[in-house]
Amino acid sequence: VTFEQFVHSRGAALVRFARLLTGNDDRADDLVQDVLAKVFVKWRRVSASDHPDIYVRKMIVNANISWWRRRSSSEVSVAEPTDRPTGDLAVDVAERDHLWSLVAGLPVRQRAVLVLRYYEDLDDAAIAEIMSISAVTVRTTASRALAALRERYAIQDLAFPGGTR
Amino acid sequence: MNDQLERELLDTFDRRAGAPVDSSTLALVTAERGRRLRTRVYAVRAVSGLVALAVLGAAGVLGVRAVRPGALPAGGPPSSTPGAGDEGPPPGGWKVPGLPIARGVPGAEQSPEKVGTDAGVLHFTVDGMTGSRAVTWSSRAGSESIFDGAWEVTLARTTAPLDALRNWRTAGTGDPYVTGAVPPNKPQPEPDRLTPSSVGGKPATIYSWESPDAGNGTFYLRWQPVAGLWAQVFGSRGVGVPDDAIAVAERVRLDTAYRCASQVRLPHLPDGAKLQQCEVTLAGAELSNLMGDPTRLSHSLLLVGDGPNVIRLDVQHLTSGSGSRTDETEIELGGRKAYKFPNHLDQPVVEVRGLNGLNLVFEGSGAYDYEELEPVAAAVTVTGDGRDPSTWPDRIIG
Repeated sequence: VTFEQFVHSRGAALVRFARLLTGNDDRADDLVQDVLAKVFVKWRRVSASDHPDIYVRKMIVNANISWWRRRSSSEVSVAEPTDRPTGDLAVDVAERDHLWSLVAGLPVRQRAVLVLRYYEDLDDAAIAEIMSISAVTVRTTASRALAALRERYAIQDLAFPGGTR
Repeated sequence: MNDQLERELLDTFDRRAGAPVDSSTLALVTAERGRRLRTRVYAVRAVSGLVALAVLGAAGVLGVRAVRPGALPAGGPPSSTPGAGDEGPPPGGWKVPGLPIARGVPGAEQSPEKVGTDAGVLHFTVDGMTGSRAVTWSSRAGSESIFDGAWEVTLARTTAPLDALRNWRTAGTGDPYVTGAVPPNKPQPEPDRLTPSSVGGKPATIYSWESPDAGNGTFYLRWQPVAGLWAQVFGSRGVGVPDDAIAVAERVRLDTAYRCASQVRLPHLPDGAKLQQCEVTLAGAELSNLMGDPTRLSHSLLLVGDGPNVIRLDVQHLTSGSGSRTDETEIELGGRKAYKFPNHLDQPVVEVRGLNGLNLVFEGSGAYDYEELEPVAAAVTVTGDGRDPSTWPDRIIG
């Protein structure tokens, strides 16, 4: 598999993955392009690995974490709750947008674990490899992230009892 | 999935990530950035080496025992690609050479039924694409395409290949190149807005994604230039507006056929094998090949085989990546050195490095193993002036 073949095959999935990690389409494009340019330079080594796809995802996760570190060590990690409309189908969409805003406000590692588990449908061992942490830490991180989301979602329900959830 | 929150998470992720992605442009852009990055890496290493030599020289004068500094890494010399690897166009602008005319072969206008039937031929062209950084021509069973990095124009006898190409471009699904198992990509939502239009007085339709999460500036235009033939102009994200796609469509010419040419010729194939796909990318400025000679051949891809048994040959003016593999075996094929190793899917790979300045990677799938790859790689030839496609072999097979 050549570099070009790999990008043709997996580029779209990598960009989508990066969109969820970063929460920003433009930054996701930049992130994936930066990482793939580096992958090009060492493609022989990457392609010789058992799972080039996981290798590259690992680079994307690390690059995103580094970006957050550089950006600010004092970043507020919790998104402010926003007003939600009430009603029918529009509320479902608004709720999902609201949920997304809460996900986007999670610490970067917690968000990465949720994306890998629920969007990429990876098991804890694969997530552990990508995140360079243990499978136990993956489970702990996911639990904390879900607990935080449930708590904030519940607070929203109390604040806006007309919600449909 | 355990509870409602987790189900909503999955739904949210699918929706937020779902906008189309242009894999072709991503491959082009990242390969170019990678080449520039590698040039810088080599330059830094070379300077470091010189500094080290100077220091060691001084140390020698001082009577300190010298240690030989490391050589440049394997994988070829640094890219000195004027043009395609740089930020801007060369003096005088980009100018991509054209493919040779296929003598005696009618264009799509005269014979629409021939489109997508011969992987060695394209039955059309698009005026005005030569002023691009690079242009890729490709022909395969069912469709023929020309892509200039922004617009991809495709002809097909039915809409099915156009749908497949669209899905591949926007979602990475149905990849026409990759053989072997790769993880499935997420499905792409169908375009949700259809706008009537016209091309050369013929009815056309612009398809776009209007949903804020899925649109992302991607759209395509379809029409029937002649009876029995469909055409599609696909606009990459951010390249323009639908009116620009119509302007591209107006420049499609169906009166002449062209050969999908490469510097490579394959005199030997496994029994029953034939050319299944040809793709060639020519640069708008001179590149340097592995020997430092000027060339316009950026990349070409040839698929030869018999049904599901396929040999994929990547022809590259540079190698992607540096460093030697630990699992490769050096062999001799046709009196020259070659290397064999398995790829990550455990498929056989034979690589011929630096044949007349080009890197050739043969990859087997289906029933093809090293036994089938090696005679093909042993017989391969590279001829002609890399800057001039008219000097390249007049046939790829045989």
